[in-house]
Amino acid sequence: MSRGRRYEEPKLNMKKVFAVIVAIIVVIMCVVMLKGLLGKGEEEKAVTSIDYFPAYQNNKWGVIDSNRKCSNRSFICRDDSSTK
Amino acid sequence: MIVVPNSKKDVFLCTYDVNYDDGTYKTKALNSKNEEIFTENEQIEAVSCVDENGNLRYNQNVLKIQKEGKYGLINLEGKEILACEYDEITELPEVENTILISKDGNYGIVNEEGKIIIEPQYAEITNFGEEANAGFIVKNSEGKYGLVDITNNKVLETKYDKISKAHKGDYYVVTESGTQKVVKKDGTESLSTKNEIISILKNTEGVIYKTSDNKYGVMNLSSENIIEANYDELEEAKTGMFIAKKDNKYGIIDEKSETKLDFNNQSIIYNEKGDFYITEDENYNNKILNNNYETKLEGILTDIDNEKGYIELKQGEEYKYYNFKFEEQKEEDIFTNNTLFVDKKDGKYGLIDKKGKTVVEYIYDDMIRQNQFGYVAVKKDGKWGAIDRSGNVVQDPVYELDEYLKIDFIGTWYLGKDLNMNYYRK
Repeated sequence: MSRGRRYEEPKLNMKKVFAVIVAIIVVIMCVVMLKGLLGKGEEEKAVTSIDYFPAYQNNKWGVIDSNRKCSNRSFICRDDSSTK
Repeated sequence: MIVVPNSKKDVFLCTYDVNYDDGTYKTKALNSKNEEIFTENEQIEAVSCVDENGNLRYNQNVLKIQKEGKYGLINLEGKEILACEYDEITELPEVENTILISKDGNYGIVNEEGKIIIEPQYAEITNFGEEANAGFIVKNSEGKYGLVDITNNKVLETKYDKISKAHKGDYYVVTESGTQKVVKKDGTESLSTKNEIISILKNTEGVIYKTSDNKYGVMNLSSENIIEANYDELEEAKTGMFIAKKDNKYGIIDEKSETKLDFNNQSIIYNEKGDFYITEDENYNNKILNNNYETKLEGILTDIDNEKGYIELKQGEEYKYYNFKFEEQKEEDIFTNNTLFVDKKDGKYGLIDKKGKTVVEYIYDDMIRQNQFGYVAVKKDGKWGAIDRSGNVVQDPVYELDEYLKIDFIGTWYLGKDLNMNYYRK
């Protein structure tokens, strides 16, 4: 008795599967890299945004900036203490 | 002394060689490379004014220069925007970035681009509202007052003895022949009274007035009393609701004089954005009430930020944060740029990161929230120091700053006592 032709599951094309996985990984990597780059940009923006304030030490006036990288040259202008 | 008119720009105005006997002094401008800039001017100063709270304020975008005894303006790039032709230039108090110029005894207004909005033609100019767009009260040489808009178009004729800053929509409060009136823009009289008009109601259907014996009430535009003048103070919180003072205590009444909140408070403030009331008792404790006068929060109010929409309360020894729906918020959800957050354990303060990991051990007696530059002020054994955004001690606690109104650090520098000068020292 003929049962007809049995259904056969198609075999996976491993090459295509591999290509899709690689493509997904590449997309994820791109997103992560892009996010990282944007984040870095924001961070740099935060660091490079400098505020200046008058400062007073040992009877001298000067100016400090808010960026600690510059703290070693915080006295960027000086005047005589008699300048009140 | 050095003034930094705009903290984002490296333009520093230095005053030197001050002669206290004759009041003379020299000025110069320096940049962040310590180079003198804008050297072609005899004098260069900030455009300043003292506001109604006594605070000194500087214009952030223009500088006052002097040549041959006359004043003009340059911008922070050094470009001349107003020629040196004026006898004096000051910031108009109460209105930011609006500049008052005077010439031959007459006053005018100039904007920050150097465009003359009002030619010097008035004996006096004062602000009408908190923004320049509200216009200006002007006084002519005959001593009469009028109102002009920001383009110097006449809003009210210059014929009144006084113009009050109280106004709503097209209704203005003026004084003419000793009588206070509510007039419309076209001069139509809506109300006339011998009482002092304090303010126009938000719905413009009446006014809060003060009698000659200093009692406050509310009348409609037909001069009929809505609320009898039985109160020592009266302020409209929102339409139909009034904060009133009686027997030295504050309460809330409605337009039918029905008491909505008992008169047992030292003060009451209405927050329009959040639609809530803040009461204070004689021990400076605060309650936050919703618009049904139900107490939603209690503590000592330390901050309200309408822009970010949070309330900071000191409850016991802890600082707690709430949104305007009175829901508790995490500090890190409000101050999203901060890297460190104050935490308390066993009576001592430490710092944790966003994930709750301890960054600075719990060894301090007090701390102040991380500032915008990343520094946290810390107190130990009665003295203050600073920790940076990574949790490193950049300044050992050696400064006694408890008497300072605001404690703040940038690196090793602490904020000076005179907040008006906004300077740091060590």
